[in-house]
Amino acid sequence: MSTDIEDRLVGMFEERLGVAPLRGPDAVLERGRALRRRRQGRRAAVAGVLVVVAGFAGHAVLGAADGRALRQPVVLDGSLDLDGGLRAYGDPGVFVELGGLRVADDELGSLDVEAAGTSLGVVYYDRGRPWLLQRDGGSQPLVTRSVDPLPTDPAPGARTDRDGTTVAYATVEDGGAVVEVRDLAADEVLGSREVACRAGDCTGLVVDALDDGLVFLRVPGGAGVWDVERDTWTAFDPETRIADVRAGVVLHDGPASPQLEGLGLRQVAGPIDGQLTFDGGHVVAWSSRLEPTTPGAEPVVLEHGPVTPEDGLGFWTVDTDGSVMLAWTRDYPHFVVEDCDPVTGVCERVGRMTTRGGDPQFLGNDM
Amino acid sequence: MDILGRRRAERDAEFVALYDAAWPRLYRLAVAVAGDAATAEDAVQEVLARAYATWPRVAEARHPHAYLRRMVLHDLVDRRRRGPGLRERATSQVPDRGRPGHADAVDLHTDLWAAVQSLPVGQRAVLVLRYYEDCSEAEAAVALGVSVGTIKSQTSRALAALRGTRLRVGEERA
Repeated sequence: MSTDIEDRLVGMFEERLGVAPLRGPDAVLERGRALRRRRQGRRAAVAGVLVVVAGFAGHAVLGAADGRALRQPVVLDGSLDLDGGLRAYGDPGVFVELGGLRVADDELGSLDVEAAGTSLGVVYYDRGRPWLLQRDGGSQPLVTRSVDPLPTDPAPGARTDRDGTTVAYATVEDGGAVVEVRDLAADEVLGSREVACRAGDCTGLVVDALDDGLVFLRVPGGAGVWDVERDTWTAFDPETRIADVRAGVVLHDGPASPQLEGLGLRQVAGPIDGQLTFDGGHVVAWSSRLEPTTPGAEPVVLEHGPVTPEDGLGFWTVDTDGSVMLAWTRDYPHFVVEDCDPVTGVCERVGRMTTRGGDPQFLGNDM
Repeated sequence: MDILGRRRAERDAEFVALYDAAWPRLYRLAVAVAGDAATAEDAVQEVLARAYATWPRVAEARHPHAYLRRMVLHDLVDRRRRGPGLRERATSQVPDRGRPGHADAVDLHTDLWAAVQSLPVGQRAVLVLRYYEDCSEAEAAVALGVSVGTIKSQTSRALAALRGTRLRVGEERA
């Protein structure tokens, strides 16, 4: 009986869905380019405005290593409360809530989904230079030497270790790239590694993950793990796409890598836009049910938010303190934002928002 | 051509290659889930445009088609959430039907299509993935971002609902 209805479904779909109409890519390309310009252009234009705003702030000009003045790209009118994590979420193009401070979109400047949240603020790039947006709302350059623009397609990004204070970022200098790992609490560079680029073109350099002093990098023509303390490099198959690494667990798309296994890392296949809980025990990916990375282990089901698409519409990310941020709704576009314990699943409501700019966004997570 | 122009041309060429390969399959998948051609085309075009705008992320995926398929499914589910007044178009009309078969088979397919379209969107998506895209339960789970257990239960509920539907041609005559 069940085979019968299943066979009929196969036949029905084949018959009903015969041939797709031909559609050229021109309309999609036009729309895609417009979306792309909007994503890139808004940031560049607003960054220029904020230099002026920062000028009035009185603490906007800092010294660069070569004696030139550096202007803080982002200065917020208020301080960040980071005790409960960064709790950064927003309505695209409208506002971002950041450490309890609501910041209008036109004050965000270079802050975007490429930024990395830390327990001491937000690491972001402006014109190729990494900055830390600090608790007091001011920005501090992490590199003061002269830098060149970064590649944008893809952008190298920045990643934070689960300790919340160690961060990896990249710069392009003198035709090559440099990846640095910095302890933000001690304001100390823990390690630095040069990456060769092709004729000055560093496209392809991406900081994929940082975990326990291991930096997972994609570099032009390959991929590898840099052990910062030992300053060793272990190449692995770039077909193994790193989604996240936490507590020795590698969440990856594509084939598992024998080289990563050789480093004692446990590899778990999953979606490229998924994340791991800080203990590496569960995967955060498009559901309030966090699937275990160990076969047979129990999932964590968050107190609220959809488990299946039929339950509602939800968005998730792992916050700087390891909690799971959740924005969900059964009445679009009215969202509830919650901060959930990744062990017990208990959620605490941190806000509500009615989005005007589209689906909710989390800073530092292009989920 | 400068380096930026060359990179853009390369990106466009890569995207068009993926577009050409993905469009027919994504479109048919979307029609089956949405139930009408206009919504399906709208969803697939929007997803592909977003894919172009965020090309590095799509290109990172080991299986870009699976990534796009998931984006389309989420877009269609989101459209449901956004409400029927905004984007949903309720119709059972399907364009570009394949070869007409035997009259009984066409009647059965018409009834079965209507029955599938009456299911909740999540169950519908599961059926399409399992019986049209030929996905395993694990693949369907990844595509919808749910557990394998959810796929099993959704499939079971959907098939039970279809079995409870009296089709003009089918069990009575079989």
